[in-house]
Amino acid sequence: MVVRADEGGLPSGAMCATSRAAKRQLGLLCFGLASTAASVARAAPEPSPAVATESAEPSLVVATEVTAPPNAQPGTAGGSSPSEPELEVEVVAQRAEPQRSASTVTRTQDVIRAAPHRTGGDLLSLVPGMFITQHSGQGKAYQVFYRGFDAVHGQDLEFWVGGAPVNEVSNLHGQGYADLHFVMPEVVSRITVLPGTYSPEQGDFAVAGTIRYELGYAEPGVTAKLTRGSFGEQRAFLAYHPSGASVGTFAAFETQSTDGFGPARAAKRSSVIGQQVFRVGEGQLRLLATGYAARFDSPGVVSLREVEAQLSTRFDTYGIPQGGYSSRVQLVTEYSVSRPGLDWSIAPYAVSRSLSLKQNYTGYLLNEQQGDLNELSNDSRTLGMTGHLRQAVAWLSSHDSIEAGISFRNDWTAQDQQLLATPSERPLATQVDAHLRTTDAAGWLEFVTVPVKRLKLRAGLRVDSLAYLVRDSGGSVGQAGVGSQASRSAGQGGQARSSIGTHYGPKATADLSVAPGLHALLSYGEGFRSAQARSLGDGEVAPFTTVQSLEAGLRYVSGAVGGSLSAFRSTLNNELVFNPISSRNETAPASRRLGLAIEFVAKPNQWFVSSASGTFTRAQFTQSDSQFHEGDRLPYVPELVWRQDLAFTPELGQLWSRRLVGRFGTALTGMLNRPQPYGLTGHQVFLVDGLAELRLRELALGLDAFNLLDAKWYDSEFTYSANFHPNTAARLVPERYVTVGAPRTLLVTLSWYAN
Amino acid sequence: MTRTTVVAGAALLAVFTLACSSPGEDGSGTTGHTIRLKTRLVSGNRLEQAHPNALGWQIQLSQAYLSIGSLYYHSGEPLLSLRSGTRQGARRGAATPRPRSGLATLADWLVPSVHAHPGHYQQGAALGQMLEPTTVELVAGGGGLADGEGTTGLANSARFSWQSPAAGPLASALKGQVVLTRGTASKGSVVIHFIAKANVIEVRDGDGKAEVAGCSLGPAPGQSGVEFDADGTVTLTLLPMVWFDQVDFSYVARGTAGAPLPDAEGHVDLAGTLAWQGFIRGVKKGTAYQFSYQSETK
Repeated sequence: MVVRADEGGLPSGAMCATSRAAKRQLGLLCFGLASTAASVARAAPEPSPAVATESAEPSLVVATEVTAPPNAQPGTAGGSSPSEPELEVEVVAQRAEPQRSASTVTRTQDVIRAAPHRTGGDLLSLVPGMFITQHSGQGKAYQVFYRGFDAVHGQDLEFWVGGAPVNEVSNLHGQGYADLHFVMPEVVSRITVLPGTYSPEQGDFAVAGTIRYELGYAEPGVTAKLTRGSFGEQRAFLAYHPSGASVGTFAAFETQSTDGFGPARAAKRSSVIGQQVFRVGEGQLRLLATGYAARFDSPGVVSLREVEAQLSTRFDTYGIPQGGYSSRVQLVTEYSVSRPGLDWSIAPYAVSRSLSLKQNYTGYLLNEQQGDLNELSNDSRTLGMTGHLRQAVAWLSSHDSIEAGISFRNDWTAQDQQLLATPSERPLATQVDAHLRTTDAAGWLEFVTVPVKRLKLRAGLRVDSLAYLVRDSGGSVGQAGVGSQASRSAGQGGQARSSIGTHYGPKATADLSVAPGLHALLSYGEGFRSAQARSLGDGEVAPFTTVQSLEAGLRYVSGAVGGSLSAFRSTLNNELVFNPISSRNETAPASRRLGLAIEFVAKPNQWFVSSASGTFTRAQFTQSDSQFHEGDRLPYVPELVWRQDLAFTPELGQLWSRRLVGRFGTALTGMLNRPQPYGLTGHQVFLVDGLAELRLRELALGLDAFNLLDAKWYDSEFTYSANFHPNTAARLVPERYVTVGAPRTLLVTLSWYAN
Repeated sequence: MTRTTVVAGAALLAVFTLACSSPGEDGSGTTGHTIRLKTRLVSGNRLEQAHPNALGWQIQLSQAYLSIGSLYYHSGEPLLSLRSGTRQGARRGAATPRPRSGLATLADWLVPSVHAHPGHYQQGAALGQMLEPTTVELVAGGGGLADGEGTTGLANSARFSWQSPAAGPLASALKGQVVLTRGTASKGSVVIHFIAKANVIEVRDGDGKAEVAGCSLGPAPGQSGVEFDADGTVTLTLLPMVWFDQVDFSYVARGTAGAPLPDAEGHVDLAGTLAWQGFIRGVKKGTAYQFSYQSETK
């Protein structure tokens, strides 16, 4: 059993209050952050009354790991009997994200497990203000809408999992493509959400914010799950976590397949994740390895006009073969040391990624005879490293500190795109054939000071230097060499272009403790998104999409309740928007987002948790070009997104000398006002998910229900020109094309826990 | 503390409300909006009268059947048209107009420019379409076609297409042709009753499409550049005399070597003759198909 006390998510005070309330039963312990870190202590079941508090610079999370006795009831750290033996308590210090804005939040396992989730990517729906869609089959990265941003597949959101970046630099399908399918939801111990660009640790793609997944699995022993459900869905999950080891030490495997809820929706995936945490010297060493592969079909889009005219059903396809293959291998090594007044870490990583997509969103629009089907391939190898050092200094107060950090990643990417004939799939032309080498080297510095009582100030600067070498071996169409000026031959008929650019991103946060538990925060930050490498000309100063973020808000932490209310503003110097005419993302004028966000988590007792959020954003262009005009709303971006998760985990009684524990949860997801081009509005979305599970120590039987009310909803809606009916009059005026959301899906899971 | 919270929260809401209500921006929608476009077909020539062609023939049509396919309206410049004096774009929803110098404006006034797009026609974005095929009798006056649809924006050119097989009341009368005309050509004492026709293969353009691309679209026939700003009517003005402008009927005059024999009604079918080739060239000319748009708000 692991208890984390940190300043993110449910605040440490709340966590410890909960812990105090339940400590007799659960043996939960709370330690002050200044307590001895990375130590192993022997503690009695009645713990120290110490409460987690902020240190001078509360950069540590103290994970208190309680080794449960062998006969302990699963889900608890130990029995309730006062005669039980002493518990072995391992205190593991981890670095936490300081509160850089009012809306910085974390979601921990209790909230994550409140509602059913199929994949790690699915967990993004828990992020306040985020709405996700999956428009091209189970296996393609989610399209993410967040706080007025259409982040597409990751271009405006920075993702990290287990210490490695997920965004793919200059992915051929979309800048910053981030596929989270390799993560099983069971092994995500914590999601940290950093809206805006207020942290110097945030780099490329952190335009709307940053999402970090931490991995861990707390169930001791071996876990095996088998799932069967609607549309032929099957899943096997296996995990183990050595009893007494750090929650970060685990291994997990899953394989999943489905026939899909309609034609051309079958998918299969398999994934393995293993992580081990060692104590080495005065610090700890964490090793993480993941492997993942998936294959999936895609139905593509269907004309909304045809659906509404009953010319086709919602689940029809146009019979064009589409889908893809995705794989990922990831290795992370992290060595970190934390002691009072000093913490540092270094974390090299390596990622190998492959993505192949066959897609046709425009039918026979461009090629009336052979169709517009194309197949792209994007293979990348990434090597990188992050590191930081934070130490206490005594300048204006004894609580001051300074932090320095570095970040480096180098990506080798090979990409090509072929135009294929429909339906023979015979290659017709090479549209893209390029090799990229991209480098992002960054360093940052941040000062934290408490000049007067109750006021904490942060000020930092991050500098990123991005370099590109593009070997463009040509292609018949689709060359993105904007203004390219070849300076030398790359050999084999190719063209080599290189460019480099630097971005300076200042950050600042003022945190005023207004009253006990109540903080007022004012945050400012500047961030960036790098350009598609193939769009850069030789010698061109690599241009960036730059963002300025501003947020003012209140954060309240008291007892079992935590939450925030914030107003935010983001301005971008240029946009990347889906163009209904060209049917692809293209540069658009500058824009601005204004929004209001509210979120809270309540854990009044051990068997109930509630998490809710609502975010309203108005996203508008602030300049004009030939396509978009000042004052117009950005298309496709939902204005109002809300989410509520509720979970009850009551103890229902005793059966065969075992405790019968229930787990019941619901999740409500809503999305309103999804603007479409030409003054139209997309369909609203309201979805209800639910779960019910009964667990009798070793065995559990659960039912997951997705879209419980069987809402007939549209996952994605796009307005653009397409022609899916060759040999008929082409409909060239942009119209609405949709991908259909999944109908009600029920999954039954039998779980076995061997400890 | 509670009071502080309420005050701070109210302040945040006030800031947000103010920030969201920037003056001069209604923020009411995304760029542009969809519109309905009625479609009308008229003849630009008074067909009850005889018209001279470039080779001195007086031509009068007694019948002009057409099988019309889809019509498209585009942002791309037409292949050949008079520049419209209303190429404005200042209203909301239109592209920002490029300022023109006083000298350029004076030059435009003195010598109306004819715009010829260099090279191949680039149709640009589709701003409207009429997709219902039909058949029409032009001599009877044309008339209304099906309604079309579109979006707001600056339209400059149009695309006319032929429909085969024909669909509409004259489908059988067209006998597999997309255009079927009967008329009389006269020059001095020579009078020729003719039939000029073409099927879908014969009217194909260089890209193999049975269409005429790059036609002008403007506020009036022959002009280009008009703002689709609201529901309105697109009028297709057909100039059948352009079809016959380069037709030398002397190749089919009685007594000429190789001239076809007249049918029972005394009509000579031009098919396969040099006269017919001139007719086919005329049918493919974009200047015979002039589109104009009138907004319902005007």
